[in-house]
Parts: sequence; structure tokens; C-alpha cells
Amino acid sequence: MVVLRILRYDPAEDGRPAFREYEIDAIPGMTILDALIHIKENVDPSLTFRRSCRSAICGSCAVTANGKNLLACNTQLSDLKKKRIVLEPLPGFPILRDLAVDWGPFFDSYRAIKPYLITKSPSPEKERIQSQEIRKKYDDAAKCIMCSACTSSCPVIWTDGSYLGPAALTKVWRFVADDRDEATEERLALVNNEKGVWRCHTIFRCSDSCPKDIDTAGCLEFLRRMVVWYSLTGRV
Amino acid sequence: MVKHSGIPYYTKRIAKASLETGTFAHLLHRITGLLLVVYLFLHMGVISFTYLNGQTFDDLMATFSSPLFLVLDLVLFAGAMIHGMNGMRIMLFDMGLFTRRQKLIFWVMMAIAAIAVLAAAYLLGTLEGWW
Repeated sequence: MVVLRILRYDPAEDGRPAFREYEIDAIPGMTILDALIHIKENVDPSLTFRRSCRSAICGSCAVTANGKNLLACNTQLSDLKKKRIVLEPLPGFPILRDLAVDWGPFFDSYRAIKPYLITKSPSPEKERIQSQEIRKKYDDAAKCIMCSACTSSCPVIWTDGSYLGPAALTKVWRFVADDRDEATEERLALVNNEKGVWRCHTIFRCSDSCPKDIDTAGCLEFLRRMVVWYSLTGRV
Repeated sequence: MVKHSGIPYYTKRIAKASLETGTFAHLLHRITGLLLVVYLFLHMGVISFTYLNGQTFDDLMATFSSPLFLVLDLVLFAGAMIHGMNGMRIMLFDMGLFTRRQKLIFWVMMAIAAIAVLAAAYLLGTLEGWW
């Protein structure tokens, strides 16, 4: 028997978010998402949460369980080693309803860093070729599924919502490290301020909460060193 | 709309957050940092007593040589060591070293801080003839 303590919030009822408890029989192998679906189907149909692929690819079901951000679909109830699991919507974002948050701020900062390949040279006849070594350099950053578990777990975001956040900054590193991209100076100038790389406090909550095990804080540190190097050589 | 950023929100969230090593290090860094700032102003205030109260510097130092203040000095030293060693840890990451090993590095740094504090306590005790 596991008790799920879920933060419920209905904007139509005009109240504060409040916890409600659900007791469920945990089957071995049951994930948090399985438990949520079980509650929605059998106990309380009004429970709201996001989910899609159920295989840790879409990044929709990120929630906070016992204070840690994770994907509900690839975390089993037994992984948490607790009989009482507190589920909350991702912190740092406005709550829409129950476990569903408004990802507007997350995607705003994502859009702000121009998350697409920028080229200035004329297109070659076929594709822009890249060596395997260079591809390997940003392998880690390219794994991101944009579940926002990192950005939402960042204590800096909790203080100041205008910080770009680890997910967006990791994406900047992904394009800066890509030798086909030709806007490195522009990208570095974009993050060389107090809303960008310099706001990070190196707390490592981002790396700790990444379901894809990306060294997010490490990517950000790479970016910082590049900003410093480009500043010293007068390019940013 | 429930508020979702700002200092009160940060305080509320960090109190509920899971305490992984990095988060623990962050909290420790903040607390010791505040301690050091408070101490700095206290220090300046106390030193200015020689001017305000007309006490001589030696009088003042005599007060601060009592065992209570010496133990407090050790606490201050421990705070400075924890803050300093964690600062060194973060500088390692800034240089691109050990970001994947940050948890281990934290405990290595804290072990160095603990050894330094123990050594300082031993030195102090020996100088004061406590043992």
C-alpha cells in the first residue's frame, strides 16, 4: 500500500492549491504514471496531469516527487523507497490545474536563444558535413527531450523567473559546439549577461534531475569558458 | 494565480526540495556566507570600540582571549573553511574539471576543511595549554 499525496488545484474553484491523499495497491513495477492513470480511471476522474509517450521520450510527464523533479513514466513507485509519495506540479511555473503547469515561460526562454541552425555561408551542393568527433562533443546536450525538469528544479529560477535556465543554455551549447552553425558570436552575446550564463550558481540540481543524465551544469560551464575566451579576444 | 518566483517562493521551495549533495552544498555555502558577512560587520564594530569607548586595543584583546571567544574563533574558522573549500570546488567546475564527479569532490573538500579545523583546534589548544 502506497499513499500518494497529490497537490490539487482547480482555478475554477478559486482556492489555494491543497493536498489530497490517495491510497493505492502498488504492483511491483508500477510507475508513478501508472499510479496516476489508475487514480484517474478508478478513483478520481478529475485528476489532471500531462502524459503522452509513456517511454521517457516526449518529456510531458515531468513532476516533482518528494521534492525531486523526475519523469513519472520512468520512475517506479519502489524507486522512491517511501510509503508516502508527495507529488507536486513542477515548481517555478504557473500551475494550470493539478499537476499540469503552464510551460509558457520555459518555451519563451527557449525561443529567445534561437534554437535552430544559423548559417551565413552559401549552402553546399549536398549536406553540410560534420565529423563524428565534433558530433560527439555535443552528444550530451543533443539528448535533451525538453521535459523542463532541470529548469524547474533550478533554485535560481525560483528566485528570478527571467533567468534563461539550464535547458535553454544547454541548447545554446549544443549549437555553439556544432561546427555547422555560424552564429557563435551572436549566441554567446545573447547569454553573456545576468539573465544568461552568469546567473548560474552551480548548484547541480539540473544535472541531478535530468532523466536523460545530461551533464547540464557541465554544458553551462563549457559555455561560460567560451564566453570568457571570446570576450578576452574581443569577439563578444 | 499562485506566485511562482521571488525570494519567499525560493525559501518555500528550497525547504521542500530534495537535499542532493549539490543542493546541500548550495545551502551550506549561503549559510556560511551570511555568517561571514555578519562577522565582518561585527568585527569592524568591535574594533571601533577602541575609538568609541576609549578602551585600549590590549584591553579589548584580553576580553577576546577568553576560552569562549577562542571557541567562537574556531567556529568562524570552520565557517570560512567550508565556504572557501566549496568555493574552490566551484572554481574546479568553472575550469571544466570533475563536473560529473561533483558529489565526490564536495566530500573531498569537506574532508580537507575538517582536517584544517581539527589542526587549528589542536594548535589553539596547545598554545593555550589546554592539554
